[in-house]
Amino acid sequence: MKKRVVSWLLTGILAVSMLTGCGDSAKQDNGGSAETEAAAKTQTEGEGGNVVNGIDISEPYEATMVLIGSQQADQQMVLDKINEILMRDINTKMDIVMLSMGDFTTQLPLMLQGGDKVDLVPVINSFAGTFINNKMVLDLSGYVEQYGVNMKEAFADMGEELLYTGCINDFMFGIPVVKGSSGVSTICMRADWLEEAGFTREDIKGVEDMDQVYEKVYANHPEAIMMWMTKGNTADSRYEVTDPLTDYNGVLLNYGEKPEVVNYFASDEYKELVTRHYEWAQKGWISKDAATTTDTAASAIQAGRAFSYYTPGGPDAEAANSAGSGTEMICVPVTEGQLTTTGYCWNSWGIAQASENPERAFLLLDYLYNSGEVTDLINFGIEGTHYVVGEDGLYHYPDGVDLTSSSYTFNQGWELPNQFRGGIWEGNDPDLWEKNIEATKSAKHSCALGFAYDSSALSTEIAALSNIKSQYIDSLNTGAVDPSVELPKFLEELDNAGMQKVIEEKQAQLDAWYASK
Amino acid sequence: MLKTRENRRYQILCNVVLALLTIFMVFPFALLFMSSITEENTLIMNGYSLFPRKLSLEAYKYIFQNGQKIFHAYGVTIFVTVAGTCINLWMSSMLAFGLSRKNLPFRRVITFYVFFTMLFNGGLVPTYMMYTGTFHIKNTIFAMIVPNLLMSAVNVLLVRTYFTNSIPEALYEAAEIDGAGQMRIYFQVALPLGKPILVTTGLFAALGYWNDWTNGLYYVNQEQFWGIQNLLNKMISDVQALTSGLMSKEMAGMIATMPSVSVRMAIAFVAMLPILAVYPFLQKYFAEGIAMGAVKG
Repeated sequence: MKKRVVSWLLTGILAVSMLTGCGDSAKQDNGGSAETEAAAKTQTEGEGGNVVNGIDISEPYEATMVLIGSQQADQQMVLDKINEILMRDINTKMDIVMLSMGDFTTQLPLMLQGGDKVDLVPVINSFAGTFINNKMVLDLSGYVEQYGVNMKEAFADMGEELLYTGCINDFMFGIPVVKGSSGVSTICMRADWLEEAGFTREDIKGVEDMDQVYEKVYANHPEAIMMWMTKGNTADSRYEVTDPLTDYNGVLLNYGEKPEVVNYFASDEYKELVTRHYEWAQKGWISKDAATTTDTAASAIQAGRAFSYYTPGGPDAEAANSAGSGTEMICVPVTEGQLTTTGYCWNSWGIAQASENPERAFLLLDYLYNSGEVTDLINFGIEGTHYVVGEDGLYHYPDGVDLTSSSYTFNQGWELPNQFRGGIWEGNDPDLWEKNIEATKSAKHSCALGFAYDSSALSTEIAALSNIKSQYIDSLNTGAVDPSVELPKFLEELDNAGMQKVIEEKQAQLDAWYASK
Repeated sequence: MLKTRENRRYQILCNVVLALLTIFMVFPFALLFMSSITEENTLIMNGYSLFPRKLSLEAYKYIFQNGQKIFHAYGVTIFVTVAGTCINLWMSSMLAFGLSRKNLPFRRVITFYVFFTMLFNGGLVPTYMMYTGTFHIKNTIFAMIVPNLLMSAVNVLLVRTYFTNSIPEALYEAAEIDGAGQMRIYFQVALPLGKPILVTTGLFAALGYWNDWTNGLYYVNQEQFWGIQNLLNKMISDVQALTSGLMSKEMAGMIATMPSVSVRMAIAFVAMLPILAVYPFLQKYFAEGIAMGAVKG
């Protein structure tokens, strides 16, 4: 008797949950298609004035944009100003949801899967696969061809192929933000200690020249760490001479010279790198705790505990790093600039599957790729209130206002669709954008630029490989262990975990992509 | 009791083991506290130490001077803890009282229904959809109170067992004969006699609310509803995100605006303090309540 009650109860619960599940998704589907149908209809009937880039805008639309950053005191005020412009130009209103850097990896997938009202979302390329597989974002390839007027123009300077770096298997998960190539690896050093040791930036041509520098500086400051590394932020992600093809499981050597996938960890380049770091560590130039510490390089520099560290470079590297550590830094590139899918499309803008009107959301996104006015508003606030434009053309805080007292200090241009249309904050080079475009054009283009592999068939291998890598990489890269002993062990474990299979699969996909080009 | 040699040896052994355990428990707190009063640069240069070379109260000064955000979050946490615990106690004791009465219709079915939630739940995404889509608690103060913490089956069953086993049935009967209704019995017989178990489950609930940061993480993205643990979690996860290779060069500037190491320690210590202070006063009820409520009936 009891058992029967229980089983009925369970069946009931299951049945109810199934019903609600079906009903919900069915409703959503209907809603979506009905809307697009309606939109398509009015588009054909629409008159010239109500159509922008081929999208009908006669009905007002409210789009929600997710940004990474912290909430600003004057957010609403700035938003009102933005909406004035957006209503005038594309009959759209915008709402901003701020997620903090630490939270967004948890909250954004929840919001996307939970059916929250969101339209424009930032997609970080390492999450793109998950976003696609769980149907969180839309495939934008059709939209770009049809409606992507401004974004095509925005990338025209640097090469239109960059616009298409946000694809996996022809699924376009996002439009990359416009930025300079970030593929040049740099070593940033304290300017004062470098000068004291009698060196200038011209003395350093490559990472080989660091030995003599460290020798002198270490003699002057024996208590300091010469090369600061932290967990997960070690050389392989910061000293880049390969096209990592998303995850370093099989790479293209030499900045992606030939379309030939090889195991990076078995290459001479990698061996040289870890051997060099092992020697440095033996001399006390790298901290013994480097593989586990999470203290940032900036705080170590500030406290006088470190001399230099690897960081991704670029035309603004020196300004950014000096500001970050409150100490004058000299940043010297130690690799050539390179342009890879992984590096370029680090963050992009996608459209949520739950968007009520993807066309209109896309229109807004496209608009942002060309609007310096809105970019400045999101980034710096309202002119005259939150910033003023100086005589040099750079943006400053108004008199009597600074970072701590300003009520709008978003300043995260890197994540906005096109910061090159916006202004430049004080302390930076006034020609920053031109220099970035130059650097991108002159960077070594990987032959696999625009290719991103689909890892869904290899998830077991990739999980196993990541496990092994997390065991070995930090200690090898920081020179904590002897590579002549540990490196062969590492390679053997990688092979056992299916490195070869991943490489072959990657190669096959790359060949297919190459042939179709 | 005979004081034999063996007995003494046993005593010494026990004391040594307990002393060691105590040190294991106290050491992290001591280290946390000492790091919070260590000078920032010393902390980065020499690492954490129980006897730092240079002391400084800068971190606490920073909290008290620039900490509107911190105090606001503190206020939220206190409000959520007090309100949440009261509602939690009220609801679970009422349910438990009902379940403890043998003449309740469908008693077994309802008990099973409560028990069932201990074994299965909807999972994160459906739960999220339910709360945000149906109940619309996202970015309200309810987001900090309602999900997960408002009612726990374990607490309900603990209280129910206590009501059935430790309060003699005769007392209820006597009250009924005197003409008391169920409400009156609940308020004037069950609640006063159930004080030990209510304090215990109340403490569980309060600890749960005080330490919770997941609700804030899932359901809130406006800082005014964040509790102290969310603030702390945000600071730490921001730093982790920055150091885990998720960082691009453009974010390097963000580091400068982050509270430094000793400030994080100080906030952690401040967040812990009230619980540390309240615990000793409730301890006497604590053991008593669990032991009695834990006997399965």
